[in-house]
Amino acid sequence: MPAEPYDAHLGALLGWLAVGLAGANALSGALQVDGNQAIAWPTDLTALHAVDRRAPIDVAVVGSSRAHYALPPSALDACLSRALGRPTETVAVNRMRASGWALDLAVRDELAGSLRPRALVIEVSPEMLSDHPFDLASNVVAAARTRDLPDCLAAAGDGDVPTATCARPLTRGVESLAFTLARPWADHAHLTWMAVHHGGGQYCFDDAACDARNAAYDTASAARWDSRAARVLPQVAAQRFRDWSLEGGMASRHLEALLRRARTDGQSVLLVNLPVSADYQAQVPEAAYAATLDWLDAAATRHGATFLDTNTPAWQAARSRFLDPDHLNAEGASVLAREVCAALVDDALH
Amino acid sequence: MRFTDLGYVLFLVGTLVVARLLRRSHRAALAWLTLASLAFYGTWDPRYLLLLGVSTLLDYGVCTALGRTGHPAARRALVGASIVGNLGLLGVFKYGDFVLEGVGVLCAGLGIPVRVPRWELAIPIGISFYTFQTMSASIDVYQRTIPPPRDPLAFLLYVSFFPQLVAGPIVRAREFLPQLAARVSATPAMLGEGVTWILVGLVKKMLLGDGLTERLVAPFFAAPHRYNAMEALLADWAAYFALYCDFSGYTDIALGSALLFGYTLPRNFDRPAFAPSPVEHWRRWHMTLGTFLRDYLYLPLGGSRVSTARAWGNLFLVFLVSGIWHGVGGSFVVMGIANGILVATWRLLRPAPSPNRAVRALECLLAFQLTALTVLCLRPIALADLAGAFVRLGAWSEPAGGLATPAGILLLGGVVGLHLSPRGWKDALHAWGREAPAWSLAAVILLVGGACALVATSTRDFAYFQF
Repeated sequence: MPAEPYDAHLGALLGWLAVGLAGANALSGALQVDGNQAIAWPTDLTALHAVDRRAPIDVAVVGSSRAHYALPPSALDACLSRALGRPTETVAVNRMRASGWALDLAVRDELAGSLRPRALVIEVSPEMLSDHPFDLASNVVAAARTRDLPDCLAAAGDGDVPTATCARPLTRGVESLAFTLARPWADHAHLTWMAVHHGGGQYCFDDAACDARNAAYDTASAARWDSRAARVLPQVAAQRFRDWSLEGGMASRHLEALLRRARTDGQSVLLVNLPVSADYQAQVPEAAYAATLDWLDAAATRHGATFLDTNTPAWQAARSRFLDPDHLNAEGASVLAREVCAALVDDALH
Repeated sequence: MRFTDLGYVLFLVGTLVVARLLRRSHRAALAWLTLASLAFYGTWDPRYLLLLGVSTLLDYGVCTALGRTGHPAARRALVGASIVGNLGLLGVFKYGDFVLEGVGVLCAGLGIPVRVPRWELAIPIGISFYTFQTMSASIDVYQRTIPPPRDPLAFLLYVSFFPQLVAGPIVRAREFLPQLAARVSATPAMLGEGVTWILVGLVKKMLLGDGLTERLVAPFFAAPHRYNAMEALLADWAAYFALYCDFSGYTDIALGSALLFGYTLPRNFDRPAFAPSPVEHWRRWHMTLGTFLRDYLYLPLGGSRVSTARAWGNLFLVFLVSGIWHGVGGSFVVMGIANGILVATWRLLRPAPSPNRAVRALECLLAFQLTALTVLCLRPIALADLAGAFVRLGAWSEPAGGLATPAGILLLGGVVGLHLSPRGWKDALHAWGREAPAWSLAAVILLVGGACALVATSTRDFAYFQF
């Protein structure tokens, strides 16, 4: 049956689209921008790939926005360098609304080869462990590759992501190039500063200029507590814990895989439960929280990792250390970095 | 599944490819398109398919029965059954709880100790559109404007065709059934133009409309008390153009999607902000609803060929019904009444546009400003909050609250500029689409797709879905 002009045109169009998508995928991979997210945090990846390293990476922080605020690389390096008596290299690869699955992908794809760190600091919260993570699509679309298709289709079957999300490996090149060209982080001078000089993250603690930048950011964000308290807190239970369960679903299975791989590769792992304010903690169902702590304890034992619980009542009550109900400010990051640093020196980097 | 989702692109391509493979068999192609349309609608909630089926069956039955009887009383009863049935569906699912709430308030006011229950039914998406479509088929057959549809499959596809099912345009049986009766003859030019329509719609919705909402409209309505009159005016313009970009963007994607399959849907917008009078504005905004109300309400009531008072009353009624069609709640009633008064008053004071160009430009500006204020009623906010926003239009002496950022102003200016751009530009764009080689179409698709991906996480639902 000869092709009609319409079908020939349609075939040519689909063919050119396929060529364009494949070309964009190859180009974004070659430029190392194919893990960019559509938010300001690509600064972390920019810093990760831009620095010319002579020594291996000591520590990599992986987590969600909470880790982006609470564990900036320069805060950890300032403390670790003093404790170990040598310059250290810490990097951060955090993911928007990260699930355990997204963390696994970030470590697998971004922190491989010459970028494999000696130790991993992994933020784990109840939200990240749920079998049905809140807004899974937004962190998976930024990271999923062709080989993740079976997991993506399974998650789509469970209703956790739209099925079309699984086409991300096809479109990631175009999206990543668009994010890179648009440079959403360029509007945030503070973040560019962190990327260029301090390995990414939200704050830095190396010098007086950092202090001034941190103070300026926190001052400019003074209204953030009120706005997020009004916008986020009332929805925590309904959005993030509505279908919460921990029965070996996608998120916990991927975290297990990550821990297993780290042990095989000889990496030390510090699992950290980061602090949230008392207001936020009040919205977290007690059963989910207790189950998470149990899981973290057991996983640390199973995989030879260390578990550090910093979400203590004292931290929860320290209102002055929070930028908003579940993100630390510069003061909080500075204090927390010392706690995490001590645990790393004692257990992970000894 | 929203038109802005990647899933829709995959669905559209998959449906198109299979439809093309089946093109030798007209029946098979129709059946495939119907199946795909029902699956598309079912992605919201498969239970909604039942209502769609009820409305379709009712009107196919009425149309068939109308074709078999010439008895005036029987024909009136049949068309009455269609009107009652469809408006009944709409009434129960869309307005039922609103009425029950009113009854409860009335009983409480009268001191009657009755607890009026609420049905708490979810409003099935697109019900306002497809009930009007099926009803129009019965009325057209009753008025002998079209013959009764003979093919139940084609009738089901007419009602459920996915590009227009959820938020219009409201397609009349006389426009679409003849297209379904003939074998599809799509051309490469249709493919190129369809793609162009879709890309233009995506840009309007995701980059322009949502951009205006993000930068100007949402901040203003979140805290109107922070802003002065100038900023309130700016937010009003932004809200108008955001809604225009949202709905006309949706329509463009619908038109483009249909064109890929070789079908032509009616246009729904014609530069409404450029209209010289409020009545002309509403002729150019959601044109298919306007013509529906004109043909099935305004003209049967006598239109303007009655006494002046009655003509005004007819106009007023049409706008009131149009307001209520959009939804339940006081703001929609207010919108209907306000537009009814506005149109009637304008007609009284300015029966014809001024011959002077400068005066006519001022008339356009005034007509736009007044209708833009009424369009605020379509925002999904409570009447009290809307009133709070309106109050800011009087706050001329207060300091600015920082709404007018350069990016917001630039975006609004760009949208207004594009809206007022010569028709020839748009025609040239579509002509390019018709003639463009496949590689250049693919390049533009990737370019627009990349730009849309930047804002995809903050893309909002289409506003007219709620109606």
